[in-house]
Amino acid sequence: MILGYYALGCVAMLAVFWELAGHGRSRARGLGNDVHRVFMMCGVLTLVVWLCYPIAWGVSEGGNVIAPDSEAVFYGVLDFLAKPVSLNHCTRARVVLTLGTSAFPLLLSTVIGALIPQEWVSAFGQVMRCQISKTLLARNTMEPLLARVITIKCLHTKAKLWVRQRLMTTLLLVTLFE
Amino acid sequence: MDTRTIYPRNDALSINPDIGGRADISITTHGSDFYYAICAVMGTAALTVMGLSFLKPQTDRIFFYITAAINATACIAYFSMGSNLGQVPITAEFQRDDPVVRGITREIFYARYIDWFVTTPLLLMDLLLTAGMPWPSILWTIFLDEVMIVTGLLGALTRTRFKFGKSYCSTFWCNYL
Repeated sequence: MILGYYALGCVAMLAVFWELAGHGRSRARGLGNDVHRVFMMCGVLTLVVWLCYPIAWGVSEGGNVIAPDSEAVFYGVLDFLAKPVSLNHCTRARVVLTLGTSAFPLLLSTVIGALIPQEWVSAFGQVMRCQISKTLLARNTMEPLLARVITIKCLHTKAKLWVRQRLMTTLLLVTLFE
Repeated sequence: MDTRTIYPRNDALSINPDIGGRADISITTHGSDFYYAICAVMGTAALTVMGLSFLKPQTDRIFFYITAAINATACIAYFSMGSNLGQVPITAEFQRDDPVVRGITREIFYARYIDWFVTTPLLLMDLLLTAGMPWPSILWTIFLDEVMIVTGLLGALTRTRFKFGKSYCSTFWCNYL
């Protein structure tokens, strides 16, 4: 038997990754440096987490190696990282846009956010703000917001550094979680 | 028996012992507890995002709706799995001697795949809308994603070597693991 469902699924997954890392990334780059950076941050977390799913499948439903309880924890942690944690990034952007860099972004972050110093979160908020502004400008929507968008200060070097540190911390926590 | 109405307990496995059949290798109350914990997290996240969406004008809520939908779907799926529902016993392709996975049939949660069928396209949309991808590309990526999920479900429900495909893969799993 040459083809099986696992092999097919893995091929489809690689195709999705190609769309994300290839086409998605080049589109994001076209929208400017900030959008590109943010897309990379969210995208890398997604790809890393998604890559663990075939392993989880292989040892539980596929290979029957780990107990269903362990399967619950494995998939549970992955789903937790893929859903509330990674979506936190994008949701926070909208919150920051509405409320400014207040305590709300911190409140929103479920686990990781609570472990990150406030100023990193603010830096992250700034990046996301830039992202939104660029995206909105690019799509020419939400005109009432444009006035505010123009006043938004764009990314500065220090913020970039903070964001990089934050990404590293997130990845480190992901590793520790596993 | 505790006489209080509300007290900590988890008797889902005794209420739903064999709906859809009982598998030899199935979750215990610990697994059920964990599923319910994740269910609670997802539900809280969904409600929070739904609440926050009111801070924005109705036309600007697309990312809030996506996030809320993802978390709400996951919440329902995890509720089902914690309740020992949305599962079906499938004969395991690889029979093990390890006590934790000893038995003929394994409990396969198809609820998980229904969850992913709904949520992963939304996750991709969230990313690709941020990148400003054109809609044909988004649709194509979502199609590929659905192929990935459906093959995962079909593979999980399969009990023969069609599960893993290439025979050396099966050999690898048998010998290595």
